[in-house]
Amino acid sequence: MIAALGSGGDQIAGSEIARYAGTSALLALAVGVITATVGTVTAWLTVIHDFPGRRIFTWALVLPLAVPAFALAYAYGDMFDVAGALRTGLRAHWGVDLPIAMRSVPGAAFVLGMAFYPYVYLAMRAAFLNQSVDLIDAGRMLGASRWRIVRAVALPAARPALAAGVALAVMETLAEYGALQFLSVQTLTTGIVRTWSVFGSTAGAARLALPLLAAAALLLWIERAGRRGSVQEGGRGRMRPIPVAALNGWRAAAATATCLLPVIAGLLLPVAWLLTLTLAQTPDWTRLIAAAGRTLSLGMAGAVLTVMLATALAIGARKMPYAVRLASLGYATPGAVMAIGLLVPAGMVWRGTGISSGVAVGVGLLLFAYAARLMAAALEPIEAGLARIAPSTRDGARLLGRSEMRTAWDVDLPIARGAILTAGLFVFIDIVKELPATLILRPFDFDTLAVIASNYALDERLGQAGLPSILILLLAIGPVLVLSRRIATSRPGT
Amino acid sequence: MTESAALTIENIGKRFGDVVAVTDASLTLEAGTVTCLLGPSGCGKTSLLRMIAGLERADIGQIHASGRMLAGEGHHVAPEDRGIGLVFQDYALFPHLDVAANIGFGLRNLGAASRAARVAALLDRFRIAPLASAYPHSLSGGEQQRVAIARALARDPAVVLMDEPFSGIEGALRREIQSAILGTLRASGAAVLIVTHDPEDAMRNGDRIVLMHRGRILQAGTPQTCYRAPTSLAAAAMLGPINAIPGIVKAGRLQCDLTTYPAPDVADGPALLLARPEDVTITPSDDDTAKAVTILGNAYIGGKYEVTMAIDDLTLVVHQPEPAIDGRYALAIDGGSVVPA
Repeated sequence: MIAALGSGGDQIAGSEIARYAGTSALLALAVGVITATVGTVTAWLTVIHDFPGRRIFTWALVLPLAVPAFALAYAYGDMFDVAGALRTGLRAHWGVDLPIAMRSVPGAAFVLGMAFYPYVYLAMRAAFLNQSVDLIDAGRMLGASRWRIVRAVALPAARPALAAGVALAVMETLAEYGALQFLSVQTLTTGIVRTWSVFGSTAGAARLALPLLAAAALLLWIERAGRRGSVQEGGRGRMRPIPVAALNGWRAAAATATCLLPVIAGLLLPVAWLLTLTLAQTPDWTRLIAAAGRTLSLGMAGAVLTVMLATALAIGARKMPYAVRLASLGYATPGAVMAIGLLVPAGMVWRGTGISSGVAVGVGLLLFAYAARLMAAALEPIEAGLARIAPSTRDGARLLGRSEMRTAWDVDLPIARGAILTAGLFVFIDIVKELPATLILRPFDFDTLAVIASNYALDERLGQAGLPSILILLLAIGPVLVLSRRIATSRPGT
Repeated sequence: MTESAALTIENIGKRFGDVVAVTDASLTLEAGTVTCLLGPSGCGKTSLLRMIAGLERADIGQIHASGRMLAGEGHHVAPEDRGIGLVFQDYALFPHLDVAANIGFGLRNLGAASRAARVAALLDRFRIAPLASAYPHSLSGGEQQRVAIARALARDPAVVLMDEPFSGIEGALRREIQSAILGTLRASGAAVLIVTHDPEDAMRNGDRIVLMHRGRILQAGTPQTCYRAPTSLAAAAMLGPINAIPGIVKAGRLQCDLTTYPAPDVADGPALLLARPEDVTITPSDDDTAKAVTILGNAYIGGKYEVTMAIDDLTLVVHQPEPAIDGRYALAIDGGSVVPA
C-alpha cells in the first residue's frame, strides 16, 4: 500500500485500472448471483425436504470445495474450446456450434460460481438448521401458508447468513488469479500479478491493489455484520427436530436433479474431463510426487501455524477485540496483493541483514503469508466455538483454583477442540489450492502442485496440467469430506 | 359441553415412537377465563398445547372449537386455519421484522389502512407504541413478551395458548406484569390456556387449573378445590407439601394409628388421609392418646416454622408458630381429605 503512494507506477494508465475494476465488479456481481441462487436452493432443499439422494447431497454438495477454481477453468476451457474435440465433432456431425465462449466474463462467472457456491451452501445450511422451528410454527399459527413462510419468514431470517456466504464467494472471486488468467479475463488481481511479473513494478501492482483492498474491506464488513445478526437469532429457541417435508413424483425428481447439477458441474464433469486428458500423457512422476510432498507439507505446516495463532488470538481477544478485527483483514486481501506487499519489507530485511533468500527463508515467508491471509478463516470457527462456552464455565474453573492461562488450556481448548479442527481443515484446503501468493513468494525451483499446473496451463499443455490439478483434489478431498460430515451432523436432534 | 366452552378436548392421546406423551386427556376451556396447565417438565403439557395448536397431530381423541371439529376421526385442521393464538416460550419473534410488522404479520387479509389501525390499537393496548419500529433483538424480555402476546391476539383468536409465558421475566415487576397482561387477556374475551411448571403462578393466575403428570390429567378445577380437595396423592403433591397418612376406610370413616377421620364418599379399603402442613396442629400433652414425637428439623419460613417430625415410621410436616422439641404431643387434623390408596 505504501508503494502505491510513491510516484513510480506509471506503466498502468488510469483508464486501464478502470477497465480492470469494471471487469472485476461485473464478475463479482455475476458470481454473487450464481452462488446465492445455487447455494440457497440446494441448502433449502436438503435441509427441509426429503427426496432420493438427500443424505448424499447433504455432503456431496460441499465437495466442489476440494477442486481448485483453476482446475475447473482448465476443464471447461478445454471442453468448450472452439478448436476442441467436442465442438469440432459437433460441427462435423450435426453442423451445429455451441454458442458458448468460456474465455469470457460469462464463462468465467460460471466457472467461479461452480467453484464457490459451497460457501453459500454451507452458510445457508447452517442458517436453516439453526433457525428456531418456533419461528416457522409462529408463522403457521398466524395463518401463513407454507410458501408465505418460506418467502416472508425463513428466507428473510436467513438473510444475514446469505450476505455472509455471498461475501465470502465474492471475496474469493476478487482474489482469483489462476482461473481468470487461463480464461484470459483481465481483472484487478490478474492485472496485479502481470504488472509485477512483466514490468517488475511493485508500485504499479500496488496501485491496482488499492480499489481491491477497499472492496475487500467492505465485503469483510458485510460478512461480519451478517454474522452478528445470525448469532442473535441462533442462540435462543429450543432444538426441536426440523419437520421435513417428503417430496414425491416429479417434485422429488426435480429436487434430485437440482442438487445433482452443481455436483456434476462443479466436480464430476470437469474432473472426468481432466482425467481423460491426463490419460494421453506420460507424466513426470518424480517431479509431481516431490511437488505433492511440498504441497502437503506446506498445507499442514500452514494449517498448524495459522490455527495456533488464531487460537491464541481468539482466547486473548476477549480482552482486546480490535486485534482480531485487524488480523481478519488479511482474509479479504487477495493472495497476490499479500505476497507483493510482503516482498517489499522482506527485501529490506534481506538487504539489511545480508541473509540470502534461501529456501528456509522463502518457505517461512510463504507460511507467514498463508497465516496472514487465512487468519479470518481460522478465527471464525474458533471464535464461534469459544463463544459457546458459557462465561460461568470459565468462572467455575477460576474459582476452583486455575489461573487464567490454565483455564484457557484446561477448559477453553478441550471444549473448542472440534472448532479448532474445523479451522485447521479449512486452512489446509485453502493452502493446497492456493496459487498467486505461492507463485510469487516461493523459493526458486520450489514448485507446488498448483504452480506446476499453472505453468503447464500457460503453455497450453492441459494434459500435463490436469494431473497436478487432480492430485490437489485428492489431497483436499479427505479434509473436505471430514468437514462436510462434521457440518452435516452439527445439529442436535436431526 | 357448556354454552361458553371455547374449546373442548376429548380423550386425546399422543405417543412419539415408544414414548407416551399424552394419555386420554380431556379438558374444556371457557371463554373469558384463564386456565393454567400445571405439570413438571416432560409431563406432556407442551405436547398437549401443540396438539391444540395443530402443530402436532393427535393419535386419538377429538378437539372441537366453537362447535367446529379441529381434530378427530382422521381429520386434522392445519394450524394456520384454526384461528388459535400461540405465545411461544422463546416468543419466536421474527428477527427481520420490526415490532409493528411482527404484530401485523397475521393480518394479511386486512387492507393496509385497517391493518395499520389494528396494529396501532394493539401497540396502545400493550403500551409498546414507542417500540413500533424497533427490532426484536433490541427489546428487553418483558417487551418481547408483550409484542409476542400482541401478535398472537392480532387475529382476535377465540383461544390463546401460552407456553411458560412468564419464565423469561424475573424480579420485582413479575407480579405486576402478570396481572396487567392477564387483565388484558381476560378483557379480550378469549379462552386462555397457560402452560406452567410453577404451582404458585398457576394458583395465582388461573381461574381454573389443570394438573398434569406423566401424560395424564390428574385433576381439574378451581385453585381452591385442587389445593384443598385433591383427588390423589400425586395431584396433591403438585401444589405444595402434603402429608399422606395411610389407613383403612370402614363404613365412611378412615382409621389409622394417629386418628380417625370422616371419609363419607370413599369405598371401604386401604386409603390415604391427605393433609396440608397447615391442617395439622400439635400440642404438648400427657394424655394416653398423645404420641411420642421426634423432631427432625425446624425451618423458619416467614411468620411461622415448618416443623418436620417423625412418629414411629411416619414423617409429617406441620406449620407451627414456634419451633418444637422432642416430646409427647396430641395431634389434631382439620381440613384434610381422604383418597383411596
